[in-house]
Amino acid sequence: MLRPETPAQSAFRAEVRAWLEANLPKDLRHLSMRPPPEAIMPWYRTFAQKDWIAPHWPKEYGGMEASPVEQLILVEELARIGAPDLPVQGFNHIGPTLMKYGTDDQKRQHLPKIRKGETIWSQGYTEPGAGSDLASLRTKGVIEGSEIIINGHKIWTTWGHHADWMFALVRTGEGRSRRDGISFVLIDLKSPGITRRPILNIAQDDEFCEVFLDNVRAPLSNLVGKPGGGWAIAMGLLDEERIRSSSPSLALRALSRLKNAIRLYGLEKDALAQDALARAEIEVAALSASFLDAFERFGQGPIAGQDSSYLKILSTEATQTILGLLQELVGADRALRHPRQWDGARIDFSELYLQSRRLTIYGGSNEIQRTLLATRTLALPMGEG
Amino acid sequence: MPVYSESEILIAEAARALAEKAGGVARARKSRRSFPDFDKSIWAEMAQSGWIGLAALEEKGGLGLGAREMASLCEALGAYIPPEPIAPALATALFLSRCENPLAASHLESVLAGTEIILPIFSEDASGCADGHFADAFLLQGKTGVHLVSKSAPGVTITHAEAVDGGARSQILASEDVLRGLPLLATGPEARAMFDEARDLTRLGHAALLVGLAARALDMTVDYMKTRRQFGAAIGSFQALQHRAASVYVGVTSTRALVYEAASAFATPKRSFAAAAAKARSAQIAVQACEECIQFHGAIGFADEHDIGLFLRRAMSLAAAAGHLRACRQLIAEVGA
Repeated sequence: MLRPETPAQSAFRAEVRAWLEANLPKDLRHLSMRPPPEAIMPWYRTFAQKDWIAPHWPKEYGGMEASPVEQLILVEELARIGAPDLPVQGFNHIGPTLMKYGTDDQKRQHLPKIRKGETIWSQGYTEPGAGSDLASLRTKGVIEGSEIIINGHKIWTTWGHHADWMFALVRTGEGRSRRDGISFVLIDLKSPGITRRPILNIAQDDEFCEVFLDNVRAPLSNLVGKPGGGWAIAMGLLDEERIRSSSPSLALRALSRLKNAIRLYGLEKDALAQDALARAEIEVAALSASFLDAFERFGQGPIAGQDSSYLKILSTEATQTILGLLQELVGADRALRHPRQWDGARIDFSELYLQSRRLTIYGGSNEIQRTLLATRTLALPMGEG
Repeated sequence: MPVYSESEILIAEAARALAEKAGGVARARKSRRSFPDFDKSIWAEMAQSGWIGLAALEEKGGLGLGAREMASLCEALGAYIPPEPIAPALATALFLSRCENPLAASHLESVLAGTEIILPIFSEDASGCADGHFADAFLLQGKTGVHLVSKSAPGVTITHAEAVDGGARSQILASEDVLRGLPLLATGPEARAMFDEARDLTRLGHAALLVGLAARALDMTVDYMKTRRQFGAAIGSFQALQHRAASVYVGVTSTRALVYEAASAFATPKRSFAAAAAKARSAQIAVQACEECIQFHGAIGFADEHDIGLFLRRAMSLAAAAGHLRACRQLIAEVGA
């Protein structure tokens, strides 16, 4: 952050820094991949002692209602200590969705458990045939009495195989457009008929999963909103989610790896390395400024759609740019699979870079974001295809 | 768009009004034809509005406003690509207002009144500046301090090479011997600190001008894309152009956020880093934006007759001034955040 901090903000930063140092286990720092639940959920539950874990949640649900600057301070301090990424489907997706659209029973049943780290959630949107074109989804739900019977296939479900629950978009009817007839359902993944298969990715982790649903029964009380009203619910909070996930968190971590590499390779006086470092610093500065700026305007009620696409493009491509610079910098070592311990530091040559290739694909690909930006913000006319 | 303060909004509105009244972008075109002559007609008006002294100390006759207000002024003006060297003139006024000697005070008076134009020469700028042909005098940093160098000072070599935007790429050279004979405005480490501040304010001002320039270029181009039809459709409906226009928007918008964030950091130890980052990014983004905008116009974008080419050429000049890309990046790498 470039702007000066108030004494209260500095005190907050110091408090966060000290608490993280004392409470984040060393073996969870500066990892390139999110560790499995048995390693990270204890940390989730520790961090849950602080409302910093949910900076954007209302205080009524145990959140911090943090200001934009406080949110950035948290992002910066977590990145500085190399804190691992918590599963955020609960905090960032289904939690806010239930707060806005859920019944009192649904809120009571699910929100406290998300807050405390007692349930893990996954998102069941995408299908093999419905990626960018999500509205073409085919997982079907038939309403029979007080139940909805679901058949279908979801894919790229983050932590689907670790999750306890999945919120899913399911086609329960037909309407004039493909977006009509889609319902938003909460599915208990312990239900009979659920098969989960992890998918190994190029970074050699299996965060993503396929979920097969074979006559899975969910009570009607697990519908969020009305049958056929699911699309609006899924899209309703998408902008806010996107802005939130566009924090400088990953870019900051990429920058610190670049600095690490420059130090370890002895490139402090190398002109190319210095230029790469400067470019990375500038990207992070611009991203942090944009993140703060977007949140400040959010507080004033801006048209969120304009910001979320732009921020998503900015944050993901800034991170990829910095990791690309890192790859060039480590030169002959760029293809090494495993990190090394070197001079008291851990150097990762390729892990985070490979992980970063997903950034521009998930959360609505950057191509989709550019089309949204062009047609909504720039008001350019829609094309034929 | 940042959340602008009341005063920032008022300044921007006044800037737009003045630039429109002066003839808008057409004025930039006209000034191109007249090198080395230049149009000083609106300088007096800008001075009367208090803009030259916008950042200068209030107790010395300036408005005592901050870097954010300056950014707001420059961003608004940038859309009209004015030929005047506003940012460095503002920086000079701030510098002079910090000096504690009668020479500085008397020149500050004429600078604020708009009857004298003094521009700073930074070593990172290869001892030059943009649009030095407007200036009556220059600030030059020597071994002992910062000197006032009149344009007619003996032993000083002043050249104004024509720049592509109709302005000048000026170079002001004086040996240490010659400088020693020229009046000092400030000495010692204080002088160095004040001059660095002037450099950073100039960079920030240029960054804001470049953002305003790039945003206007994109707006004009998006309008064109909505009306120009080929193959039975508006070219703005073609996905390739939509995506590239979106990329330009991302660059310009994020750079604007950085400029205002950097302005917020002006009175802090992060000032130099922030100003250099803003300048480096804005130079890069604005030139890229203009290149893309010319491309989206097709052949007419390449014709001198079309305004869009003026934007690229002014961007080149502003990008080069007071710390070009390499100089800014070097500072950032040295200083770190």
